Amino acid sequence: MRDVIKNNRLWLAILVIPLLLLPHFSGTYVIYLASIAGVYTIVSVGLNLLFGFTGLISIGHAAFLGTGAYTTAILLTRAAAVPFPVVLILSGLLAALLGLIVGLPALRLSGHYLAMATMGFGFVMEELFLHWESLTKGSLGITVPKVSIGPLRFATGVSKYYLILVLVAAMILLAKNILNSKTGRAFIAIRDHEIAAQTLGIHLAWYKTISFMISAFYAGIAGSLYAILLSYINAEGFHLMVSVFYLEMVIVGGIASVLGSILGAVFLTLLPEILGAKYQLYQIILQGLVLVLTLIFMPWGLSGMFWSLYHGRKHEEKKGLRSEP
Amino acid sequence: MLLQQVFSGIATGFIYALIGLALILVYKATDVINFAVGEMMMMSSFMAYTFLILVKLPYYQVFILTLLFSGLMGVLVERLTIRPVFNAPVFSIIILTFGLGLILKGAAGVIWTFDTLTIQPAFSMAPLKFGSLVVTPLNIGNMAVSVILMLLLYLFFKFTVLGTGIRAMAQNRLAAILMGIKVKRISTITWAIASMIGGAAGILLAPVIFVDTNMGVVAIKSFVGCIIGGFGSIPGCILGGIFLGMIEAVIGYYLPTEWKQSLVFLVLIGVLCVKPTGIFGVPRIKKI
Repeated sequence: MRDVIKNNRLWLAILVIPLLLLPHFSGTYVIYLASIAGVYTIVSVGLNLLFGFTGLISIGHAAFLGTGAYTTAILLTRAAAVPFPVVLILSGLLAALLGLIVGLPALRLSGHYLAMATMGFGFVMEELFLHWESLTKGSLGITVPKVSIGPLRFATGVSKYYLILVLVAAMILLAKNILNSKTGRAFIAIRDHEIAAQTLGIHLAWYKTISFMISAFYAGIAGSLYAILLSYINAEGFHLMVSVFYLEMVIVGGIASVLGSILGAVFLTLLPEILGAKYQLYQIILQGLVLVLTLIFMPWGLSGMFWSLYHGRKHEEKKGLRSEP
Repeated sequence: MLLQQVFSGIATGFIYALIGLALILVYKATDVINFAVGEMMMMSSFMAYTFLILVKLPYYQVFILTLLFSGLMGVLVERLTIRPVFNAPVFSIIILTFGLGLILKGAAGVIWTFDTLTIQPAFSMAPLKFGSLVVTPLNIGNMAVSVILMLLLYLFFKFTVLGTGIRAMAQNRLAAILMGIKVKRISTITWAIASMIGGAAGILLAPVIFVDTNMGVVAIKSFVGCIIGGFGSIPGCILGGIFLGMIEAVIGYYLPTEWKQSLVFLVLIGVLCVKPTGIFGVPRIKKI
């Protein structure tokens, strides 16, 4: 019995099969919610690599998402000959490049300064999206055309849902692999003790920059999918509070946990739905309350809670977690 | 014309400096960066609106009552949200203050309104001419109130036991504890004082940028001002705020207005690249 419970593949199957079958027994709105949760999952997994595993913060992540979304929208409208997979990868790479440009000066900074610098970067990009009208059409926005890969056309909500599902799976797998590699272990070492990591021969600047770029790459890919999913983007979708929302997903889901990022993204996508249209005014309060209460009462988030239930121990006892910064 | 821009920039800069002061006080005494400082200021502005327009009190009473409200809010915020995470990692507390900002913003919207409210200023806005320079009593009044508050704070920190305690906390928390300073009480008091300074800025700012749930965004500029001056330095934050207000007005005058916002952050990124510790900041030396 215990073996059955501990069998991760079994759990994976239990999780994945309903996701595959979801379009058969639910309406368009549920499919849309699931798709947007998928997009958020990608951002949140990427952000967790940076925030949870490397111990760096970015309060400007919406800017990377915006870069990806605009790259996709502009390429698809102006260079229709470029195939979609190339557009998708380019969106991620461009965001990563931007991450490099921001990361190089910003990563010399620590703590508060990094928070401020990334936030400032977010603001600059927000203004850029709004005012570089020849490229982004500002607040008017861009309508994103339908895309296709070979014979597969992603025109309907269901087809977009499957596209996102596949990419979410790929990105999660990638994150898991990164974390199990030398690079991932370097991230964790830097988070736990920068100086000790440096003493052991880990090149701080290099790995911090890599972490920042990977995180930006994830946001870029998510941005591209976001543009495809909504079929329309404008400058209003990428402001500071969106960046805070992404951080909230990481925290509510669980810091330094890939599963947590998924949980956080899904939970926060569904949260406004509980309130319904009638209480929309209270949405922002609820969002803030969830963040504050999580930080006070369960700092390891949902995944930490599940971990304790599963193992019957406090999450703080889990191996490889820092107790003090 | 340049002189005119410099002057009005400095007038705005003083308010940035006040908000910056609210930020730095909390940062120095408790090591927390309060990203909700703008939202707390916004609450005070709404409160000032209530007293002034809805209850129709005279301005000096509004000022006193709003400051009392702000102080109370500071105490509540510290007790309810900051105290429970006193020993959490820095980033957790930073993000917590973002959550706090969201709650306050939503609460203000629900209690009052999400629309923009106007409020008449305490000082007249009739322009006075000095040569080519146009000055309004509002500008002068705002600057005067800011300077008076800063002086009072200076005296408080220099000559009272409580103020000395806060300074001791800022210098060396462990030594302060060993000397019998009650860290938790100081933390609450600091939050109350900082919230009152923010409240004063809120009252001064309300007629200028209007009362709105989004008015807290202005605090971002104070952050930038503080970084320019050197994060953690009180003279730095005042001068940085004034300097920022000035360059914003001067360069904003020559550039299209839509780039004015970005400009502030380009300055920030520039400062962070060249000298992250700002003008007065001391580099943080890490002991191994």
